[in-house]
Amino acid sequence: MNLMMEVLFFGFVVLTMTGALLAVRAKILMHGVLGLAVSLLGVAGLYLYLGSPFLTLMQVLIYVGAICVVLVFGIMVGYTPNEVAEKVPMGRNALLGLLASGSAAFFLMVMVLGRTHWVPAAHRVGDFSIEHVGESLLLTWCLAFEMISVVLLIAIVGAIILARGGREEGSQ
Amino acid sequence: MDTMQMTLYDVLRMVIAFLLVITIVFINALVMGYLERKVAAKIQRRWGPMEVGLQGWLQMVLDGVKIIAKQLIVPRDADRVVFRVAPLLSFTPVVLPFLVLPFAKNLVGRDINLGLIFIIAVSSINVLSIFVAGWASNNKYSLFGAVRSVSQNIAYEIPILLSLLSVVLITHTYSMQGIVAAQGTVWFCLVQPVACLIYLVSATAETNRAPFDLPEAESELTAGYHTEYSGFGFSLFMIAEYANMFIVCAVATVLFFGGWHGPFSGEYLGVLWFLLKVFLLMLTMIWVRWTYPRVRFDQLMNLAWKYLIPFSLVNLLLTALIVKCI
Amino acid sequence: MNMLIFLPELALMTMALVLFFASLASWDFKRLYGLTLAMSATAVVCAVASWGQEGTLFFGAYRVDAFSQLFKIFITMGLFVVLAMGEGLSGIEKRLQPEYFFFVTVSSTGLVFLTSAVELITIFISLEVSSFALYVVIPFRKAGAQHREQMEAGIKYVLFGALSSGISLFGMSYVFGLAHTTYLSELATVVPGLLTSSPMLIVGLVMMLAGFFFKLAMFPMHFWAPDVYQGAANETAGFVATIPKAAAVALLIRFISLAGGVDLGDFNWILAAFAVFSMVLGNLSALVQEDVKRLLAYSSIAHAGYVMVALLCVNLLGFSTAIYYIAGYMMMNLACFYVVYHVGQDGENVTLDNLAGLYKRSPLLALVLAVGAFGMAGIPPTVGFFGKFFVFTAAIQKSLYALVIITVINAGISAFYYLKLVRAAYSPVKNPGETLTLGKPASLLGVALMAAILLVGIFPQFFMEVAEKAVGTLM
Repeated sequence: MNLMMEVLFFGFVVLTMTGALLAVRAKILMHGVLGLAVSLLGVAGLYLYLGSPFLTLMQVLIYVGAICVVLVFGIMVGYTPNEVAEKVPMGRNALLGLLASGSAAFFLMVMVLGRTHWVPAAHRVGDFSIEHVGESLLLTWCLAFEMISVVLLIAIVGAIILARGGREEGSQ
Repeated sequence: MDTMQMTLYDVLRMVIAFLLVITIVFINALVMGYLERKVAAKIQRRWGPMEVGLQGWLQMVLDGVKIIAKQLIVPRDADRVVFRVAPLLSFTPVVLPFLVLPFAKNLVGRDINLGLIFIIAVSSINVLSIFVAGWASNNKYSLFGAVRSVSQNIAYEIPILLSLLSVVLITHTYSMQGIVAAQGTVWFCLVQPVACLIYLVSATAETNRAPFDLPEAESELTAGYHTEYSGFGFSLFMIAEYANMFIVCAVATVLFFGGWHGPFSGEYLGVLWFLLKVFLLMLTMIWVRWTYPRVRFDQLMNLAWKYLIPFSLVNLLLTALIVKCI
Repeated sequence: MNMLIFLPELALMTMALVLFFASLASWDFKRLYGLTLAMSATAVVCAVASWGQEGTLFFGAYRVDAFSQLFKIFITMGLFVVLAMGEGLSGIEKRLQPEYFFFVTVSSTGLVFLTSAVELITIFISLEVSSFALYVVIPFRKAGAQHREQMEAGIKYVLFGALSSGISLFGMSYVFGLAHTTYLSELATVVPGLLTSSPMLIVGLVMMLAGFFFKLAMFPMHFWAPDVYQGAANETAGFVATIPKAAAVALLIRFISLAGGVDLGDFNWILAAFAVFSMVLGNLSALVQEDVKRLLAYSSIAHAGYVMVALLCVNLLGFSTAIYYIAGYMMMNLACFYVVYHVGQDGENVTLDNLAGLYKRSPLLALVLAVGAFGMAGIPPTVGFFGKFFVFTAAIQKSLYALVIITVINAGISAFYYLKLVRAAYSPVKNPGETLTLGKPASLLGVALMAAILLVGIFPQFFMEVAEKAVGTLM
């Protein structure tokens, strides 16, 4: 069973990474969004692996089911199908730079990770009943929870204002 | 659903459940395809399929064989990979919810305590697949169908969630079995009539059924997002659509019509009641489809944003108040 | 419950709500502006009235103490000055003026929450509230034939802001993974030990601080500042340049004091490198700028470096110096933006050439600019002089000699371009252009800003004591 969990974990990691690469490198914008969706599904899988089904489902519901759909909505208003992005060739210098900085970052990370003493979490909260989720959102984390709604309010009002250019001239 | 404690038995159970689910999905498509054609024929005073078997009941099977034998055509300018992936993408999210549907007291793939959220989350991917199909076809009818579908789904997802939430406020659980168990005496369609009505209307829209079938309105868009699909690609979309209908009606049954409750339901016999209720609801959907004309797009959007969402919000608030007071 | 604890927040939130509803109605501008100023003044009074309150709210996520209240006074006062300065909002698109007030208020509310938040997620979300509002406000600039750069500025601010938020959140996940808590009070008990045993924590902390570096326009996250200042309207730039920086410094102090006053180890080196790069890069780039707002942007990058030197002392004197310095920085920058706003009367950008002969066109503006620039150059008896003086004292006490030497050299370089501002304003020209007439309230504001810069500079002792008292609650 342990082996299966390991395989599952690496499967999710590969899914996330592939999706992310696809999202970044895609020439067609639509492929980028699909890559993002795949990547987010992989992240959802990682949450499941960590034993948090609630978070998994919320990730799927909100990120894949809502955010990706909204992105798609934006694309379909602004682009024609299969519009290919301008290809930017990667020069030799850029490639060398990428290689150098990438390997430097990799070795530094490996060294830092190796020297760090990781302590696993003491306990895992496995309670995803409505009561528990509700209490933690509306009591323990109430301030953050309410502030998020302020962020959303600003985003909505701001988007409407910037898109419509404010009120009509002369209505004042 | 705690993955940490999965045993071999659980895995075996999941595999069997999965095979069963696939079977149900295909059989459901056959039955529903036949029913739809027959009911449509009755309403329009014709005979419908009559040639193969008694009352033409084998017609759908033959159609299935024919459609599998057909060539898969990929349009020249289509996005080839995505074009092929889209039907599969639409098929997956409609299969998964079956795993948590409570067919009877002891007949459920796996009763997880987040069952309702699971169904909602998984079916939210569906709209992505429709859009991908329409986009990849690179055809203006397909794209229009997809665009309509996305706007419609975004609009109707909200009243669906809100109406389901008002039931959850009463039951205090997302578990499908728990919700069914809470309706031993009174069905929630009597306790929550407004939520029930809103759900049924939105669900019809969410499954792109008439009178809300603008994404595939044949008089304007040929066949909408699956115009370019032939052979098995097309049939996967059709199967997914019927499976989606089944799920939507099953959720309605579980949340508002008492699930498997009924006389003599017992441990396993409840499945009959469950299927009876689901198919009655689906028949109603077919009935509605052939009775009402298609709405206009602005009417469709107005209905969701100006009526269903405000009403479901008020309903949710009232429910919360009443639950708090009791 | 003691209402006084939450009074400044309540005042700002009420203000935001009233402005929101006012923006739905079509009020005439004068009435709206008067109402906004009155409410903003009330917020200042509320912030001052809540000084001395202490307590914890929202299940430990929100702490009210002398430290947070001091910064709340700074922020509300800054908001009031920015609003009072932008009288008429000449740089903002006419149709968007009511919303401008709303978003600026919401941004300040987010910053006020930021100063009191003592839990990582709350901190992050407060930061987002203030950032989101600013993302929206920057493209509000009046679209003219000669300047369309507000859209570019807006996009740059959003993209860099999103990038820094992402890095910040990524860093927080490392910190959480190592410390298993998001509460600062609990972090304070484990961080000193982890700093030595787990180098990953340093990576996490640095990445987490990136979000605050962005707000402060400090070295690795500085590149947005010049373009955004230049592209945003003068009054918006005045806001972006001053108020978020106070809150960012507050958060930096909270985080650096987590180490409990002990040696920061390798963390120290990274922050010192950031400080040095910030100073050198800011000052050298500022030397060649023609646009005054661009010049101020580079100077603010340099000032972020000076503040970081003070923070690196990791002791009472260092932290209270940082507070004193950032307060002085706010006043001096507000004074400079006040001049920029009034010289660019139609909301256009001001170059050094535009300043020529300012002393003839408006003696008051020239004087305010001179005082502000002298202050930033660090010439006594302004607040800037004592700010730098305290920074050097604190750093020498901790024997950070190399840093002190670099800072001194930088202060010397910076004097050059600040004096260039003064020289431009006071150089005699044949044809100085039309005279600029200021209304009574505007002149009064200019005088008040000058007085503040001088008074806080002449009597630094009192203000340092307040700052020390504030920091005392942290250590």
